[in-house]
Amino acid sequence: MALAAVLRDEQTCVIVGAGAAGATAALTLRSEGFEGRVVIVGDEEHPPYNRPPLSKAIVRGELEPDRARLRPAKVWEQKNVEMVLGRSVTEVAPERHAVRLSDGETLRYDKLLLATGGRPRTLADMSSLDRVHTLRTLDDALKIRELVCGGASLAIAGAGFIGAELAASAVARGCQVTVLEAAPLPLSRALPASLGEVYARLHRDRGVDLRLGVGVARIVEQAGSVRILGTSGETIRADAVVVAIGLEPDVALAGAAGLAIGDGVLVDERCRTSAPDVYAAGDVANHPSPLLGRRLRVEHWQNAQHQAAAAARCMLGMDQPFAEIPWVWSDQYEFKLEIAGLADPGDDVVMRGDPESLDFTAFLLREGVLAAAVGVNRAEDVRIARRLIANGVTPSRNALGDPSFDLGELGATTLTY
Amino acid sequence: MSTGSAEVPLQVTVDRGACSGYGICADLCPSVFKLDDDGFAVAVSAAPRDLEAEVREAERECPEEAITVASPEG
Repeated sequence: MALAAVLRDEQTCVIVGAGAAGATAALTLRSEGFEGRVVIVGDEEHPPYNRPPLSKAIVRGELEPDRARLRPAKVWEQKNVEMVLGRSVTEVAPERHAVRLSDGETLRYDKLLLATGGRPRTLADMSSLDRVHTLRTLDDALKIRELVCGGASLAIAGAGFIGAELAASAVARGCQVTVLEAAPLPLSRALPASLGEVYARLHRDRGVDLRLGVGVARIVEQAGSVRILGTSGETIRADAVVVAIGLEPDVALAGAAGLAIGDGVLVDERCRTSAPDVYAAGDVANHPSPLLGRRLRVEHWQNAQHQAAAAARCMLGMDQPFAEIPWVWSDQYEFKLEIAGLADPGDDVVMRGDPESLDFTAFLLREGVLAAAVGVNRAEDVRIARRLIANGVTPSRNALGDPSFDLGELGATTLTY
Repeated sequence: MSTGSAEVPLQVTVDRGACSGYGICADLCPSVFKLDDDGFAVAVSAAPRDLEAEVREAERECPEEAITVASPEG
């Protein structure tokens, strides 16, 4: 495929979205030497901030909001990145190379990056309820911080990473926490059951009232509290509810502009959408992974950051297809859970270390090939595993499970393509 | 702030288990902090005193508190 023409320094890059993807793209454009105009449009009033601390140090009241910023303010000035904040893009017109802002202003672009992320999934009719929240933005987190730091009882719908991290944060501040998970085990669409059980036990041991197989049938507010009617007939009372049941990619602009969308905005390996000079990266982008041989839309930090950096280089005319094995971390209590690769509930699990003591790495094999690794407080194992997954190794189960065996040697001895 | 001797470099360490690859340190003080192939930070073991302000800022800004700057007595 033909590469993009090299962007010239009198040209303009517009980035829609001021999250990790948008901000990283802007920084990358500069670090690669682009001297033209770089404009980030963000619909929140805040300059770019890091979302990972929102469910953790921010809601626990241990990190002030200005410490969550993605870069110190002076960095944006030094790098001459223009911020259009508190306004949204209401229309993308690829044929005119222009976007329209919510106040009517029009911005012309030579290259456009859609880094619009997503919006939390909600339950029907929850928008009218004052005590029912979602957690996506800094403002959401500050509202929830008041609840958590005020010792409110909290019901959390969803035991995924956001729900589980929030549960851990709230327990740490002495809140009574109930988590409802509609699936029979947490993370059951992604992880083998044995790992979901470890995850469930971790939270129960810390005092979380984890209700598995219980969805939300109805939420009713009354007299200063909330009542959740569970799908199994039970009633859970709490001072407030946080709904953490996943993310919907924000494809509205792309769809209205006629771009190809599926689950997210469809891009090619170089993060190009179906419209000329329009790219997408981060939570919103549905990208064909050359390493995994399938399309992925990944909602994690590392993907947002690195995919956006690759997209920025492609916008500059460099040939950099994005090719990384997904990696995610989640801090819960004193544990750092990491997952590399794309786990599947049907994978074979080989344990290295002791899951009972929560110090282990689980290697997930699919037809003998290392497909994923799940580590608890085992950062180095997971990093090695990530390289092994990229290389498509078929490691020996004995070697994986033997803590005295150097994992780094597996790549050299069993590499198979 | 430091009371160490001007000649003795600062000992800078990155807790590789805590680093999550934000990359702020490498932006603020690129001569001391680099990102490896996976995007995680590594520090040269010592930083010259004239970079103390940048190194301390990186330490403060790290969301994972993965950076430690020690000022050995000269």
